[in-house]
Formats: sequence, structure tokens, C-alpha cells
Amino acid sequence: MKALLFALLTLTAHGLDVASLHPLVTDMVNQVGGDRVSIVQVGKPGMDVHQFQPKPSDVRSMAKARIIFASGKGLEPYLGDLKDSLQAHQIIVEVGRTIPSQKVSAEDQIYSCCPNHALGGIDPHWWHNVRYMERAARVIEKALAEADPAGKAIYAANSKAAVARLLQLDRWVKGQVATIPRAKRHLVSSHAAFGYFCKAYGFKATFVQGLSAEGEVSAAQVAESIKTLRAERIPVVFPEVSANPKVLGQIAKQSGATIAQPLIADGSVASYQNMIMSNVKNIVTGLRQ
Amino acid sequence: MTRSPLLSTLIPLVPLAAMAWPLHHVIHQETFQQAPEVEVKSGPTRRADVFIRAAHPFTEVKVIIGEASWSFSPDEDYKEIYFPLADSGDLLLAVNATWPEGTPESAIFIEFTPDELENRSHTVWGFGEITEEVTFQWNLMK
Repeated sequence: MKALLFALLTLTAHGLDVASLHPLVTDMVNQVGGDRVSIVQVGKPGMDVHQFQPKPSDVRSMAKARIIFASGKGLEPYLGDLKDSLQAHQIIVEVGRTIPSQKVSAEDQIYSCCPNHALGGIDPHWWHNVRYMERAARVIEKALAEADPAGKAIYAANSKAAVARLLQLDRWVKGQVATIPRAKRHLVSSHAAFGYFCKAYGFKATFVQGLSAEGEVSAAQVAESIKTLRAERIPVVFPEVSANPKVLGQIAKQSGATIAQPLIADGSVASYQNMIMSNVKNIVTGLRQ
Repeated sequence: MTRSPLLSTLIPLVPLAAMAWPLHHVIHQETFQQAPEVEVKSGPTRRADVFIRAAHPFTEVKVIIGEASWSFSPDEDYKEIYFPLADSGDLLLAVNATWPEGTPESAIFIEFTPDELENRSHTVWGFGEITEEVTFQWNLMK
């Protein structure tokens, strides 16, 4: 018993130091790493994931971290510079790297969230497909086990439990989506962040407004969006928590659509499961009207 | 009358000289040109996670790709593999499963998760021992 206690205390004392650049990644690293991992959360809930740049103080706060977890797929364009400032014992792991990429299509590009995600660019919002978060959990497990081989069994067990929860969440999403008549599965939202969600769960996607925080959309684009919504008889549009609602409000008003509860697009929240459940509940409520 | 020494030396060489041309052809034969093999274009090696789920306890499950195979023991449900994927995006794999005697017809679900490509899965049904081939396909042009 004493030996077990000592082993547990030693594990905690020698926990692996890591850092995370995205709140959803932090959530997953927490789930897979458990108590064995100590996380410096550089990307905090509420951050603007598209505009964030680590400050010198952020880089200093990561000095002890063996692994710096990023979301990947181009969401963090500063990773190259960050790599240059790392010490020899530090590595960056892009947890989205094994996930199949979706490109921003020609129809979406004028509404893309920022210049990094223009036509032909990789859509970085992979987390909206729950099955892809399973892959991320495995990438995290592997990276932790490589840096801390003594904890391999713990990370494997935690990862297995996390994946089981994600499988259950994916089933829940599919069950909820099944309650929406097929003809109504058309998601009209502000910016092109829900491409992975729409592909995974069988929605047609229309993105009517750019995210650029100021919501700069030309009059011609607004007119085009109103025309599309009227032509397709879209009854409801979904604003986003982090996007300017003014233009979407104007488009909705003039097209006769109602405005649903906002969706969380950029994952700038503490709990992945809560984000998915909140989004799906709002989508189901909005489209079943 | 005796022949000159030069003539005596040269006369025995005449038959050899006569054979020189045919011998040259025998010795300097052109290298045999083998018909070129039709090469199957294969892309770079890829990494994949392979998961299996079984309806009943099995004795062994083997996943076979070309010459390589990966064996799952009854307590294993995951393996990391590296495999070559043809440029066509087609992957032919065979699944060999064995169940203990007395196991009713059962199923093995295989999920194949290659990096940067969509998941593919297949369910193998059988009892005793079964080998089934399955082709997974990806559009690599996307």
C-alpha cells in the first residue's frame, strides 16, 4: 500500500509539462493526460482563434512544456515562428494533422473567415465532426506516451475512455439530426466554419457572411445572400457567438428568415462536449420550427 | 621442296581465321532484353490506425496487405500499421479470422483510419475460419 502511494505521489511529482494553444485541444489533453499532465493553457476560452498571436510572455510561460499542442490545419499561422523560438527538448504537435482536410470551396471563399482560409485553403474547423476529435485524442495519446513512456498505459486507458465518450456523443448527434426532416437539413450560418459538420451529418451548407470580426460584407454580397435565402425559402439562419450579428440580422430581416440561437464556431470554449451539444440543440430547435 | 617457316606457321591458322567471324558473334552476343515488367504505381507509405471489434471472442484475426500481415490476438483491438497505397487510391486487403470451436456465426468489424484520409470499415461474418478480401477506395485527387 505504501509503495502504491509512493508511486502515485512520484507520478504526480514528475507529471509531464505540456502547453496548449487552443481551448478544445486543452480539453482533450486534459481528458487523455489526466492528473499525470500539467497544462499551460496559452489559448484560453473566449480567445479569437483566428487572430491570436502568442506574446513573449506566452512563449516564456511555455518554457517548461515538453509538448506544445496546436489545433493544426493552418489555424495557427505563427507556428513556424514559434518553432524557431523553442528549446531542444520541446516539440509542437498539431493534433489535427491526421484528419482528412476539407478545402474552402469556390462558393465559400468570399465568406471565408480570414485571409488564411481563402479559396483552396484548408478549412481549419475540423472539430465539428465528432469522429475527427477521436483521431485527435489518439494523436494526443501517442505524443504523450512518446514523451513519457512510463505513463503509456495511463494515457492509453484515458484515451480509450475519451474515445468511448466521443463515440457516444457522435451517436447522440446523429440521433438528434435524425429528428430534423431531411428537406430541412440546410444550415445557413455566418461564416464558413461548419463545412466538416455539414459533411459529417448530412446538411447542405450556406455561409452568408464573413467572420472578419467587423463583419465587412459588401452590399452586393448582402443582396446575393438575400436572393439565395428567398429562392431557397430558408426559414432560419444561425448567427455565431464570435461573429458580428448585424449583417446576418439585416439579411434575415429582408429575406423573411428568423434568427436562431447562436452557434459556437471557433471552439473557443472550455468543454468540447458542451459546445457540440449546444450547437446541435440550437440547430435542431431552429430547423424543427 | 620445303615450305617457308612463315607459310608453315600461317597455314594452321587458316581454319581459326575462318571461324573468327562466327565466334565473334557467339562471344559478343547482344545482352538479352527482358520485357519490361508492368509496374503497379504505388504511392508513398501511409500510416493507419486499425481497430477491430468482435461480436464473440476470437482466436486470431489477421489483416493482410500484399506480403505484409498484422495479427490481432484475442486481447488486442488496435494496431498501428504502415502500408503502401497505390496512386489509384485502391487498397486490397484480406481479413483472416478464426473463432474457437462451437462459436456461432459471428462478426468482426474492422475500421481502417489512415492519416489524412476518411475512415473505411468492413464487417466480416463467419464461423470456424474465414478469409475475406475487401477493397477500400479513396479519391486521392481531392
